[in-house]
Amino acid sequence: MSTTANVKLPVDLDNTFESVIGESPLVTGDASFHGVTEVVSHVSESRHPPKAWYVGMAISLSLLGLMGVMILYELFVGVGVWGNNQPVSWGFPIINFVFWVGIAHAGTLISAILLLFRQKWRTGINRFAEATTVFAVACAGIFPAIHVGRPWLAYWLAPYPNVMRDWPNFYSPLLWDALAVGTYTTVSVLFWYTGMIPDLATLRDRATGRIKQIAYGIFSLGWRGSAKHWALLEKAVYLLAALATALVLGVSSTVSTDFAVSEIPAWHETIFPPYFTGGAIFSGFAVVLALAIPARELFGLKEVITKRHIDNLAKILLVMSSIVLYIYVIEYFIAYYSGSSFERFPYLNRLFGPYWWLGWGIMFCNGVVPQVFWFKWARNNPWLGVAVGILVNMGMWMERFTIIIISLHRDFVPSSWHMFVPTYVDICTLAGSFGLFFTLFLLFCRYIPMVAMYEVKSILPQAQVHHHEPVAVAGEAADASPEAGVAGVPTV
Amino acid sequence: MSVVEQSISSEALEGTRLDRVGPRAFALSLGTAIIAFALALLLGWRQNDGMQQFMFGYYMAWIFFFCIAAGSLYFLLLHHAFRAMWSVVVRRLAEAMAANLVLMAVLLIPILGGMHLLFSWTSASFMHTDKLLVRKLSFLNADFFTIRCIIYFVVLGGMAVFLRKRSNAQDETGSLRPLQAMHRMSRWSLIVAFWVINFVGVDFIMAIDPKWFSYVAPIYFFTMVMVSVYAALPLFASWLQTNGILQKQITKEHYHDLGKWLLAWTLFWGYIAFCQYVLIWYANMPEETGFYQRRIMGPWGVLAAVLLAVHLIIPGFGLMSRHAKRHRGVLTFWCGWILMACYLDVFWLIAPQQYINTPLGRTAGVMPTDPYHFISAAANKLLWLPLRPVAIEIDLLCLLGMGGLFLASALFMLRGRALLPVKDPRLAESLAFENY
Repeated sequence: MSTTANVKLPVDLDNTFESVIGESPLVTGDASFHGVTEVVSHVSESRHPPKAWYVGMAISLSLLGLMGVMILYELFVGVGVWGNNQPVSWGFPIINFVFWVGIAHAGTLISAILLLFRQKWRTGINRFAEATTVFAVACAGIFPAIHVGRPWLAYWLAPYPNVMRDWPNFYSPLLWDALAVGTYTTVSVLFWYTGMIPDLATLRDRATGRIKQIAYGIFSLGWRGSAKHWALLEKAVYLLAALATALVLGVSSTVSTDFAVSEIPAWHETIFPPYFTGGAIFSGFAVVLALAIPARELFGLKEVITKRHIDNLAKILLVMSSIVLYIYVIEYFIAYYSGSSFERFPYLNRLFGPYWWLGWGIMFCNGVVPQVFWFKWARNNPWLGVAVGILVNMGMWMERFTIIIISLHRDFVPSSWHMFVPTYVDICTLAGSFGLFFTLFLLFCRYIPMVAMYEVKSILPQAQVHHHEPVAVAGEAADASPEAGVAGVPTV
Repeated sequence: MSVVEQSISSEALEGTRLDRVGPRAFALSLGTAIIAFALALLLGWRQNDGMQQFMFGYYMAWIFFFCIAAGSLYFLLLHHAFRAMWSVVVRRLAEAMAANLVLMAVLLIPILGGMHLLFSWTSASFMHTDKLLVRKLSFLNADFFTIRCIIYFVVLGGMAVFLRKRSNAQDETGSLRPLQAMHRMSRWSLIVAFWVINFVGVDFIMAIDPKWFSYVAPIYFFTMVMVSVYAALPLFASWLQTNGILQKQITKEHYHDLGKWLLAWTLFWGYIAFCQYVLIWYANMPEETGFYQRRIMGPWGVLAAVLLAVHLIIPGFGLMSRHAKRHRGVLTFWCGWILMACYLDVFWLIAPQQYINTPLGRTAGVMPTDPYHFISAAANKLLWLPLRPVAIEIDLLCLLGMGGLFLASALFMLRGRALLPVKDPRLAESLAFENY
């Protein structure tokens, strides 16, 4: 079933209907090639961004400044300015590190794994998600660096020949961590940038000012859109996607070994690698959902980030929430099944110890709240999506707090038990990391094509070649199913 | 009545019934099953060990085929929940294998009857030797185990029967409603079935060594289930095609996608197996390492290394190329290979336990405590002999017998029906499916 290039659909079309016989359109409004370019380029070509952008930028930059001050303070005075103590020797920095690394997973998942699964809808949000990946990795990288206390010696982590003939301990998961996160940063930046080249060239060609022409010109690397360029681009993107797919599993798994190779109960669990990976994907999708909805409103991208995209994101969030809930419950079960008091204690402590509200809170935020997405009305309510996205991220931060702090604060020797209280430096550094993330994100929204234009165009009906005749539905099927309401809309 | 009209030519639906092949293959597989089990019972009886060798062989064969049946059910649930198009042509085959869960429930009865030969936790005296084991009695006891088994099979079997019935109804009426019912049911069933399969893993794999626990063991079992089905399904399809059935309908495009999934799950199995092993090795805690100690020392260590090679490294590279996945002969070879590796996995997990099950005191001799002992052991004997000195043929006969029953039952489920869901509205699309 083909459609003509100049079909105009309502911008707010409800394209979330599910049919057993076909797909609903993924681009609404002016679903022509030129229409897509106009909608996306408009954001960076308009003279002034929306007022909300300035407000957001002001807040983000202030927080970023605060972070800078806090880090300088910590460097001059020492890590004693944080709330870390004995036995809680890993405090906020490690929580924040794991939290941001987790968020960094959605981009790679959407770009690489959904690409391999031929999920066409990913084109509306992949650029966006990859951007959150890159910025979240930037936030994550800061924390282990400052946590080593003397970050100017952090290069000791790298294995290099030196006069002391001293090598890093290859058995140490901290080294694995540095290598994994380093690889991930490299691949995700390359992936993001490579996929962006044709769109940067579009902006270059449309630019009216000299500065813009030169800037976009430099970054589009002389792209002319020849067949050879496209062939090379495809090859590069697929290779990077294959690498990134392994990294999705690899990076969070490696981060989890920081904990899991130890003998601390509730850290030493063989499920930790898939657990951290699942949690990472979950929080990453929650961030994409919470950011995509305001962004499409603010920058007028409803044509390319449609209701169906939000609907699909909500469904993935539901699946990931169910996986995370499974892991929470299986942890309790196996701890019970083990018969060991040392395995059982941290779980009882989670639910009934001094941090009981966190133990229950993560169940609620991560396991229960997203279950609302079983209902279509919830998936179709964008602002509810934002609320769930934020709650999930709060929940995921709390989860890392639970794993790190609650497992440490009551160790094997009751006389050494100690509560953890964060200092103002801890809290301001955490807030500052959000400042860094949003500063980068807002700059991205303004100056870089937020949606992969050429990829969206490739999924438009007029870009498809059909090999066979479509299926016709007769009788009650059309009346009984929801697609009756949008008769006339191209369904393939 | 909603009706779907499809532009599928009658030519495209040729050769979609078992016809003459069915009864012949049914009789052959049933006959093989009877002879194999009779021989296995005879040899088992001659062991003079209260049928323990036979029960272990039977148990391992049961787990192997349960994995295929449960995997087929999960394949169907995924197919419906994601409204997959490409897999419509193999849907009916998966339905037949999933409906075998009913057969697996019947075949479970001997295991329930002989559980004292398999599970050392059934021995109260053994369980009271260790404080950790005493605490497990609330979960690991015969009554609760039986109740759990009933729940597992009511849930999984119920789902398989429901899918089969709805699918039949669609064939008869051509209505969309049965399909919509399957879609609706699959959404929540994906989660429920996942839980149930995981707990089957707890009971049938993890609890075989009652002291051992691993948080990821249930997921390890789930990956065994998924690897099995993506190996068994192309093999089944390929066997039918060799017999002139579904020759035009299942193309290399479908094999390609099945092959991709097979590769993906094989690699995922490697990932989970590695996570489990490396974390237990690293922390080196006695209640966890005991399980692996018994499985990597002595001749079992040779088997562990072989398993790593045949279940992950060799098929991982073998299936990597597009060519391997798109050519029926090559893919069939790898499917057979991986199924063999799956059985080896089951064998490696279960069989060592026979020598430390205390009730019958069969601990003597076979388990060398010296890690280097296997070198001399391997030098003295061929690989298989030190593993299970006399009983390997009983295991293989049980596997053959169970396989015969499994195939016969699958063919019985498919009797008189089209092997394609002919009224599925996505059939035309699936028949014309192409990878890009």
